[in-house]
Amino acid sequence: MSALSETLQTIDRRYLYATLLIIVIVGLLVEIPLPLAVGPQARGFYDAVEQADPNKIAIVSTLWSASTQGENRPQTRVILEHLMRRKLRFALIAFGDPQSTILAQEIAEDLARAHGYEYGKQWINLGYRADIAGTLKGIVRDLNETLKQDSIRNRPLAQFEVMRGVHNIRDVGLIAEVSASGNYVSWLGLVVGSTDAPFCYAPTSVMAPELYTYIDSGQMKGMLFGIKGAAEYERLLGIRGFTSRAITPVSLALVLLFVLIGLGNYGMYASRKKGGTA
Amino acid sequence: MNLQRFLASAFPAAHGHWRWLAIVLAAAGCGIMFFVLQALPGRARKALIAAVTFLAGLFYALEFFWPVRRGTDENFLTFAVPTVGNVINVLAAFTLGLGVFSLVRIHSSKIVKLREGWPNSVVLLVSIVVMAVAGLRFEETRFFRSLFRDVLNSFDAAMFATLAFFIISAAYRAFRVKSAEATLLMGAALVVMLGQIPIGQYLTHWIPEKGSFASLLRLDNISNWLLLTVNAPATRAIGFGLGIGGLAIALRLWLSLERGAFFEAKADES
Repeated sequence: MSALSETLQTIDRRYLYATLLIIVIVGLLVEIPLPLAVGPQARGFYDAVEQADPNKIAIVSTLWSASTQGENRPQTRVILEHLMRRKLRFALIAFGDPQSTILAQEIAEDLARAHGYEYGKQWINLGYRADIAGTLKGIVRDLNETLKQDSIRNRPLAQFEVMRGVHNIRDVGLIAEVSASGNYVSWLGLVVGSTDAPFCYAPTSVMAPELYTYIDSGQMKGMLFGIKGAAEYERLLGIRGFTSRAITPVSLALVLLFVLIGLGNYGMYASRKKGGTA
Repeated sequence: MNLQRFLASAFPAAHGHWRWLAIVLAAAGCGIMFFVLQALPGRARKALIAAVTFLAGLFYALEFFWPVRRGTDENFLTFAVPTVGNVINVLAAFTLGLGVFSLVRIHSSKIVKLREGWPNSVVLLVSIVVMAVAGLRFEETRFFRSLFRDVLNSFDAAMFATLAFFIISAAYRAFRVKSAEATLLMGAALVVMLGQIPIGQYLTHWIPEKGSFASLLRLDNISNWLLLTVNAPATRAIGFGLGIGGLAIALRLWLSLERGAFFEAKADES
């Protein structure tokens, strides 16, 4: 018993790594039909897009790189999918990581082909900006003067049909940010108070708990909780894509985590009972 | 009045050869200014930096607090906000360049002196050059797309994915329930995480989602309650503390009261 309790507390990490790897591969290959309840935060995000003013432009801000694309890519995809289904005009803008603008653009181009969206008419990429606060303060006052050109054709924004009637933040009907960082502070502090446009956020799972305070206060109309939020959104859109499937290995990995924590604690408990050291 | 329009009319955009001449002159001007600043004694440099920092911070503070004109939401500084935003973006872009310069300097020196791990430095420098050339000259080609998507993205994602293995190992080793607080934390973590995943939701999926007292016992509802009713106020309290601390630090930086800055040491040397 003592040997077992000791073993349970000191399982070789290579076994843990191998088990996790097998679980993730099996989870991706074998589909397990499990329920997924749509939470109020994802529904709030969905409703905000549904109710967004079709005469105004939506801003989709991205701040993520390939490192968090497991969560942020599907989030960006479902948001853009919904915007295109609703035939809303949208502008992409990126902060924080220069990769972000290319990654989001790839998704937009891919979906635009499927939805018949034309660059410059229904959507535009405003590119990457190194400084968040200065840019946001600027677009509240004058979006065209602050951002000047698009990032694909390098032409003045006023030349694009999609930017017609868009002068400042009051001409924006929805703000959505997909982020692996705490950029929401800048949006909430500098922009949200100056506009009626709903602000929605799609963070990685590890960031999500700190945002509930803004959901509670109503400053954020909705939130996508990591990949789970993206899967919920897929469900709301009636899609059963890769995200809905990718939630299975995430679930299995968390179950493995619980089991391992349980085993470690049981080992410690058994060892103490026998008078050993924990 | 718009500062950018005024500047655009005072300094019209140069084209062709004039544009290159303007860039060269601007670069030469910056170079001269750089050497003048370097030549300044430490105390004068410190005073200059403190003055520039104060003026830069003063703009946004004044613009925010100064009363707006009647019937508008603008004051006498509002027109300059987009321009100042662009200036900050240019400065922020310079810091990226500074980072690259610093990397190149450190790793070049490592290669020249054949210090331990110098082959890694060679790989880093070659990667920087190849990626920069590909991005600047061949952005629309498969070469750049392949480098970006197939190499950089894959490496980046793979690096981050290894975290899952470390988290599993670390949580297993470190998460021991040794006190009442740890038990409470573990219980809450278990419920919140189970409520977020389909397997956890499956355990109580037979309970109605809403409209009944029993729905309160669904794991996803308990998880949501914990996040909104327990976690949110705690986060808010921490946020207040952080906000006050941040304000104090911002004031110290703005007024150059923060000690231990690089130029302070330089000033003390001189």
